[in-house]
Amino acid sequence: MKQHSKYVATLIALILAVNLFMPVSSLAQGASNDTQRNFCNRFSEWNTKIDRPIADREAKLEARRADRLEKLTEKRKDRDEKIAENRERWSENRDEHFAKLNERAQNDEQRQAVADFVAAVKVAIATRKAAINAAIQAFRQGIDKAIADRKTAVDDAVQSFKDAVSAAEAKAKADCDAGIDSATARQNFVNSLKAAKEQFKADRQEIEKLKDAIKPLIDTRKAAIDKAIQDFKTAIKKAKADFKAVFEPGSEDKDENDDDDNGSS
Amino acid sequence: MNKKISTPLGILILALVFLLASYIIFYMKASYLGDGGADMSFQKQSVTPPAATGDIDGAVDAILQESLVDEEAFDMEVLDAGLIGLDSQEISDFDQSFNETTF
Repeated sequence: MKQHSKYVATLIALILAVNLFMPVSSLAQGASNDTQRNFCNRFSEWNTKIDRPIADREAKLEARRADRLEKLTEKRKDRDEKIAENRERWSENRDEHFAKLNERAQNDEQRQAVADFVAAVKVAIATRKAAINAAIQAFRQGIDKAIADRKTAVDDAVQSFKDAVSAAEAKAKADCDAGIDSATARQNFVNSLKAAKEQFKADRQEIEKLKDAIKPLIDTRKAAIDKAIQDFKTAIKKAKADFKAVFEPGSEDKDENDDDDNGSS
Repeated sequence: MNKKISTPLGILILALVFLLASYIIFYMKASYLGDGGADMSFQKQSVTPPAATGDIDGAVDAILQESLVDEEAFDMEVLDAGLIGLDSQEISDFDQSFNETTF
């Protein structure tokens, strides 16, 4: 009796499972045949099924672009403020170092050495800042250009996509008006839409490759920054040696050797 | 009895998996947009400048450290490159504007 109940339960479960999928698939098949037969009578669906979704996606794309511009502007403004703030802080600290060095000066020669050191450091810092600012500015212009190029390429791809869809719709209407079999008109329409999607996908993949154009720009600007920093270090090293030649005669050679050994400065 | 334990346990595991996935997606998105990067960088830039002592070596070290501010400023700029592709998902979504097989 227990065994019998098990068989009944399995059978019911099987029937329920079959029941769950059968109607859906048979309805789907029915709808598909229906769809093919009535294709020429259902142009009005295109607005909700094709044109509006495309328009919605264009609106979302525009919103995301605005979001990107806002983020970029905000980040740049934030960084500019922080850089200015940091530079100001270090500038005040530098002035304190200059003042302390000046306090050490015992005679005119030493006072002149301090003045020369201060002047040399100020020139080196101004040169470095100008080089860094120029590199940052050029990089920002590069980013802006990359975004603009991407926008143009995307707009072109979207327009081509929309044109292809419009052409497919016009062709389907013309086919139906010409009395072409509804199923054939539908198949042509489906094939055209599929081709439009494929073309857009290919365009999209090419567009994504545009992002790589920014890599050489990063390398170039990074090299410019490295050079500016290196030039700055060299200038400071010389200013220090000149200072020591007056304050601690003989020690500047030792310093130079130490710097070379450390590979720094 | 087993069912009484296994059902809530299954739900709990599913909830944990969902939470973990949400966290990973959120973290990856934030890191892609560089949202956390800026704070980290400026934390580094906020190193306190060394106090002045009148020693030329200390003064020069301080002056050289200052150049880190500019170096790091550019490193931050580079993160903006990630924003170029911020609209990738929206562009990709055009592929799913319609399902041609429903006509």
